[in-house]
Amino acid sequence: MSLETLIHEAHHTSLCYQTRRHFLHQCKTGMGAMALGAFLNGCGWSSTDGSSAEQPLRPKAPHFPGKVKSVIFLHMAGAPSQLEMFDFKPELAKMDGLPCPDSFLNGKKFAFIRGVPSLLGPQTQFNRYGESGTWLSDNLPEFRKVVDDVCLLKAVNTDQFNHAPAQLLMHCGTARLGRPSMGSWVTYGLGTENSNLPGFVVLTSGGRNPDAGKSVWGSGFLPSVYQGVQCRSEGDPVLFLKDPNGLNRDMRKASIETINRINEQSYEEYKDPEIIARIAQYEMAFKMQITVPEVMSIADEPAYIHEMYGTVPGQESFANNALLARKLVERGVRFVQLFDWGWDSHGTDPGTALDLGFIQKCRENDKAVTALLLDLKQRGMLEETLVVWGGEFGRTPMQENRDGKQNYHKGRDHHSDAFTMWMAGGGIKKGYSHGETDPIGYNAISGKVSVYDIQATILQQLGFHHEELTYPFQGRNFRLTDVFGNVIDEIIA
Amino acid sequence: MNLIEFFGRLHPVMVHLPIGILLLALTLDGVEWKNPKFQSPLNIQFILWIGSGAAIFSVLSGYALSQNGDYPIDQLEQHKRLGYITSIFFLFYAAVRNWMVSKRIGHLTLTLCGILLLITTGHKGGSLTHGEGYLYALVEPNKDQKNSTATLTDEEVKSIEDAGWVIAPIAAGDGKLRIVGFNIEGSAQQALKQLSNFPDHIEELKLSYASITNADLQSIRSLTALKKIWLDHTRASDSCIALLLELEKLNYINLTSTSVTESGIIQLKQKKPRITIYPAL
Repeated sequence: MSLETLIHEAHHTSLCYQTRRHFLHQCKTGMGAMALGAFLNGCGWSSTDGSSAEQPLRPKAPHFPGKVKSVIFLHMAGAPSQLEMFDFKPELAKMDGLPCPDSFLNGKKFAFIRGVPSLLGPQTQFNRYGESGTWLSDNLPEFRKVVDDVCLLKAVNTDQFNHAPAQLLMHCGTARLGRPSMGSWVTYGLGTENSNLPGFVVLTSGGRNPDAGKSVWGSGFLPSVYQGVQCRSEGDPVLFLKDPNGLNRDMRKASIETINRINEQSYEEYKDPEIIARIAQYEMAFKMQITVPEVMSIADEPAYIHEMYGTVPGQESFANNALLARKLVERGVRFVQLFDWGWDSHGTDPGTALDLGFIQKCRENDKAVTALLLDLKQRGMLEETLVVWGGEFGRTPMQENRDGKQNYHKGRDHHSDAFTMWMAGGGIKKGYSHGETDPIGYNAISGKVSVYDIQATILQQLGFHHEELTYPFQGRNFRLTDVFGNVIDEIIA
Repeated sequence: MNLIEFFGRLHPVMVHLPIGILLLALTLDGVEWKNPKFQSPLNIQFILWIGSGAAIFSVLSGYALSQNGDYPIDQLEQHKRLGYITSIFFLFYAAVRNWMVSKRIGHLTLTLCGILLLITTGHKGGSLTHGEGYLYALVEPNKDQKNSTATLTDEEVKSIEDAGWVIAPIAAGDGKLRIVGFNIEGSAQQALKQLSNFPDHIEELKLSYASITNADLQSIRSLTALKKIWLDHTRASDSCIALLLELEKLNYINLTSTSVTESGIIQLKQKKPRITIYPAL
């Protein structure tokens, strides 16, 4: 039997299967696939913008010229006490030890306070500093140097009083899991100016990740290429970035090119933007093998910089991360997110006592934060960088009495109604305080701003109308600020 | 939530009631002014009294809402004052309307003032809830996020990107570009020459960490629209000062971590006293 006959017979046999029954059977699965396709389109499966899908990190135009190009968000995980740092309350000092009035407790829920706690006066001294005459506590001796460069927001409020949901709300605009983080939104909106580095880098210190876990730098329903890349300040900056033993760079390059060709074929077939994200991430990882170790090394910085920040190369510390933040932004990274764990000053042990562990945290933070602002300023980078500092909520004016018994050490419970954050950098008023709390620092009495307002203001400074930076998912457009948020016009210079 | 706060939260709903009633009265009054023989089917003065009463009720609810501190103070004060003025004005209008109707100019002035006050107060209220630029946002040309490199052809964009540059549009629709050179791998001199083909588009040039010398910089002379330049962490020295002085629109120069000396900076400042300069550290 000739080959031609065989082919002819095979073709004939295959046609025999194309019966009416087979046709209907295939239609059945085809209809299901069409229905699934329509459903998946609503889940961001299809891209509405071909060019950005193929090059997801390519720079994109903001809605209007942004005042800043980069953001450094310093998050003090655990929620630092505003009453021992920025919000001076002499009336609270006079009421120290008195039982908290019922009016402050009725209808309120606290994380740990039960029964009637005592009021707790400020555990430090305050003085006015700078030309602005801003009140600062003695826990922040270095910050006095830069107090005229920052804008304090003294009446921030949130609706969450536990760490994980409050951190999610601060960074993702909702207390629930599954939404993109602020850094992801910014990278999605603006892309990156340096294709050899991630657009969104996360650095953690304090020995633990934030309570909300890695979701606070996740990309949610945005393509995963926009999620934050966690780097380390000790050991390898990025885990699993090095070539395995026995594999040289050329072989690695060839293998990545082959994998990407296969992925491109898959993309042609399925049009899933996640495949494009994977291609971009493989390419990025390859480039990062060279650039990341160089950028993430602080050993080459001059001695005066180490002295300024209080850095020790090779250690995991907030100071090292602050210096790295400057280096990363200097190299075009769009959003640098620092999480420093250990600010949860309940007073249950010496480490969380306001007169012990908290002071140590303040000192470490104070030196590095001040150095960061001074360093950005001297390099001309503060004009184009927005620095944001804060926790996920504040602390109560009452001393914590866990289970109705006063804690052994001086500490405060979680407080969501009024706390302090600050911003500094391009387009933000300098030496200005916005908002005010009542005489004991319990409620906001003016200039109250929400977490959404902070997010809207950050996006505004980057050149976005926060209501228009959206992504279609599950049939509607989502945005960072959900259905809330107003730009805090009063703090914009 | 207490009763006053609840009452305040009704303001956005209640405020439309006096607007509708008063607009009806003003429309009928306008028609009557235009055609004095017109017989209004409704008693205009009575409508004005009802509208003024609703306006006062609306002002009270607005005052209650303003107590929660959620609004920008300046804008809030403007809207509050206009609310007071509008309700008092319409009370006055209702009182004098029948007497004023025979006086043509007085009647017209009263009607036009009423329309103006109603629109202004309503607009200020809308700005408070939707944001200040809400109304004009529809007509602003740069609202849509689109690729502003559209003013360049695909080939032109490719030629710039192939040279290693990253093109970062400054804002949607304005065609102005920020060009970033972190990823230049080949000859920086060739890459800079490539940019000289686009003198009108490039406003910002970021050469930080690029492997460039003073000689390579010669081709930036043609970038006449350039406003900002970053030369930090490059081999730029005093020899590039004369070149920088030629760029008339330049208002920002970053020279940190370069070999530019203090005398070079003094030379720059003498010739361009208003320019922002970050000198070598």
